Amino acid sequence: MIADLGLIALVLAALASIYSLVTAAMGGRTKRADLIESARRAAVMIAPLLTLACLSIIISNLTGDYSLEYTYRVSNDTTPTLLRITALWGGQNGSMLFWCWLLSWYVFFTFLRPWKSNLDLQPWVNFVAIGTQAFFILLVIFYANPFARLWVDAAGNVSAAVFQPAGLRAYIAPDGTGLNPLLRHPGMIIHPPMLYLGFVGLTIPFAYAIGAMLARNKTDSWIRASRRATLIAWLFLSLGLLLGARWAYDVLGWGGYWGWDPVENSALLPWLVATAFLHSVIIQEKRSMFKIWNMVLILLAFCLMVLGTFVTRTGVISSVHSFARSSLGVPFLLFVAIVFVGSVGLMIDRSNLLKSENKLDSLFSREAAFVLNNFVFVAITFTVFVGTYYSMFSELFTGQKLTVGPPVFNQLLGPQVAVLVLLMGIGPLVAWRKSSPEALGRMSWKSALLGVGVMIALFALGIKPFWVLLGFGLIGYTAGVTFSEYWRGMRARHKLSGENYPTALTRLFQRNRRRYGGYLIHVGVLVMGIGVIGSLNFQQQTQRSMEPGSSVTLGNYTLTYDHALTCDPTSTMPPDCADWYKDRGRDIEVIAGYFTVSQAGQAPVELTPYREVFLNNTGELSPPGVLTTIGEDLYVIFLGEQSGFGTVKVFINPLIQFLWSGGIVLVIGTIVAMWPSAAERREAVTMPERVAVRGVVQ
Amino acid sequence: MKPKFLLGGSLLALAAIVMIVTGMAGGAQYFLTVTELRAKGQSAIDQSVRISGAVIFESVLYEVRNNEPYLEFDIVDTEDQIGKQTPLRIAYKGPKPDLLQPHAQAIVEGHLGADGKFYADNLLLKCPTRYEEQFPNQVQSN
Repeated sequence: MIADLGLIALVLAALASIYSLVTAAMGGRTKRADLIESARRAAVMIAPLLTLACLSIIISNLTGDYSLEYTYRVSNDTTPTLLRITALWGGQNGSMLFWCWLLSWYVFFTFLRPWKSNLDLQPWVNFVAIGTQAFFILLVIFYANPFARLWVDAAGNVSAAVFQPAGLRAYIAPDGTGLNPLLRHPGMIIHPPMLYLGFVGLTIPFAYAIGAMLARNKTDSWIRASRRATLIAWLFLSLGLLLGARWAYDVLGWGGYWGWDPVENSALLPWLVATAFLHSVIIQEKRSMFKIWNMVLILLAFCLMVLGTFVTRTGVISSVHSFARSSLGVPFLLFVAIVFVGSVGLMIDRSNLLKSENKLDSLFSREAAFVLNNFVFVAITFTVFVGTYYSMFSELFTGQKLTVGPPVFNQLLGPQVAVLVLLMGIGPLVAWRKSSPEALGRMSWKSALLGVGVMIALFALGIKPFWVLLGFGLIGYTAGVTFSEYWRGMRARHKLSGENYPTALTRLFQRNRRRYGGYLIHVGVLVMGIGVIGSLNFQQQTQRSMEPGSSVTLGNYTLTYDHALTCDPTSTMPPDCADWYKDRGRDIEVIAGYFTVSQAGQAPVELTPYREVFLNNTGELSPPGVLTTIGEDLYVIFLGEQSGFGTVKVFINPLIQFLWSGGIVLVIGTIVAMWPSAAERREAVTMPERVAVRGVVQ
Repeated sequence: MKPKFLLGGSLLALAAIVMIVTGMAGGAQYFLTVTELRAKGQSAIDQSVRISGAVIFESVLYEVRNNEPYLEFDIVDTEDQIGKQTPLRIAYKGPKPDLLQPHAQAIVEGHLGADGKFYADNLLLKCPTRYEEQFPNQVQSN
């Protein structure tokens, strides 16, 4: 019953989106205010309707309505309540609905109130955003419908369909299969929503960009108006990537956090392009240049996002993430093709709107630094893209199937990222229009000295690889520049107004959130860089099969194997197993290894890495036992017991904490940068007066 | 934009593309079947490749050697080739994955040794049954 309600809400949402799409286009062409308003109202209705649809899935999961195929697949009688709720995005069809739902809230907040500025853009932004929304809702209805029911024929074969097929009876399964065990970890509960929020958020700046072209608007107002949405999307994308890395490190148990897996890459690609876009819009805002380029970047980010969703959701490339195969491929590729061809055609048709109003004056200018930054970002994107789809390309062009592994990615991307870090240290120091090497030297010689100092110090400490020294040296230089930017601003305020230094620093942030928040993001990236270089170059590892009582030594640690505990819930389990099944489904076998770590001069620590084997043959997890210190992680994976021998893999991951703490700094910096300034908040209040001056629809 | 900037930019872009593509081609591994690996003959020895094939479950050997787990098993191109094709022996210093079961598909990274064994650095196993494809065995409803 509840599910029927959800299906009706979903269909109504589809109708509302199609209505909004058509009226927005008509309103945009005829400039009729009533049509534009009607389109806006229909757009706002979609979020509540989809909320109903999502709620009905959740209620079905909570009540265990196994007549519904989706509930049958992602839930069962032993699934805890929280997981029954999060199971909304735990399976293919539900996650597509969830995707639509998140997009509908971006649309909701974009169109909640009648626009007071950019009225010429409104119908066209509405058109593009709702077009995307409509596509995904129709995809859910026709290709990935979570409201499909189970049916059974006379021979007892079960199938799923939304409406009752002829000759089949309704079927209620006695119990569900349960959520894919990989998705039961807390990290997996938050990681997908964050990533999706980032993905769908890119729709809004894309809608503004294409909307501006459709409206024949020459100004940069689309960039200003969509700036916050872009930053929000970028924040969530970053969070999604960071949480995914952390989840892989904490749960998957292979010693690393990033494996250049196709699905990881397809989430990284839109992030890379969006990052390039965030930088290059600054040139358009300040100097009205690179308008075509910005269009290309946001189009690319959007297409890569849709492609990423497609790769994640269809398992088209084999990866750890391919939970499902499906028929989604054709509509997805068709959508990307239409968006791409349509947008490029539009850009060519409206190229007169996108003329640059200024010229690049000098190769030694802020503009040029931004261009170079974009160049490197695009090169990195290209590298990751080609590497990800290499097997496809090579088969197409040479007939041979070739693949590219992590070492190739690291080797090719290392130098490119190094250039990016260097630019991060040069960019903020060169002036707009024209600067000189002398001026740059004057402003950054101390930081350069710091960088060289770091290299010499590390070399003296016995670190020899050139690339590592260079990497740390660049980080030292750029950190020096970034902090001296804060110092310069702080001192100027202190001298000018007599504010004490802490007040001066706070005011500095308040007066120019984007700039100083942006620098904070740079600091976060530099700190993460320390973690990446450390874990890539100084990881130590060993592997051993040993009898109880024997030990293995790595670095300063001695790991002693005590015993193994095997808990198979399908048979009688030892009493110690009770602890392991407090909130774990009984479709998982646990094999735990008990170890003691001793270090010279320190109290011994117990570590209990374990393996989870999913009894329905869907896979396994090896959550590690980790001993964390500031300098490094001792990371122990237990691989099971065989004829009295316990097998263990031990890693020392140096500097890995820098990766996580840098990630936190990056997130804080983004929040600072996107928080409305006092001036913007005043502007929001006085908006009606400005509208009166600017006039209404052209 | 000044033409010299445009020209310089295009040259730079071209150079970057060439470097990235050649760099990638240099590091890429062949993804082969057992037959394709054999077809390469002597040239395949010690070359880093990826092989996929069907596991012959009866051939699995697993023991502890020099305090390390040690695994060996045979693969052929596809399951219907079992018994018809000369299998390739895979040797791997590491634990036996649970998914190494009857009808499993293996993707193995490593190199062919001069002794005809394939020495694996990485082992990835897939089970033919996929999670979302299973439907319940029907129990009488009502």
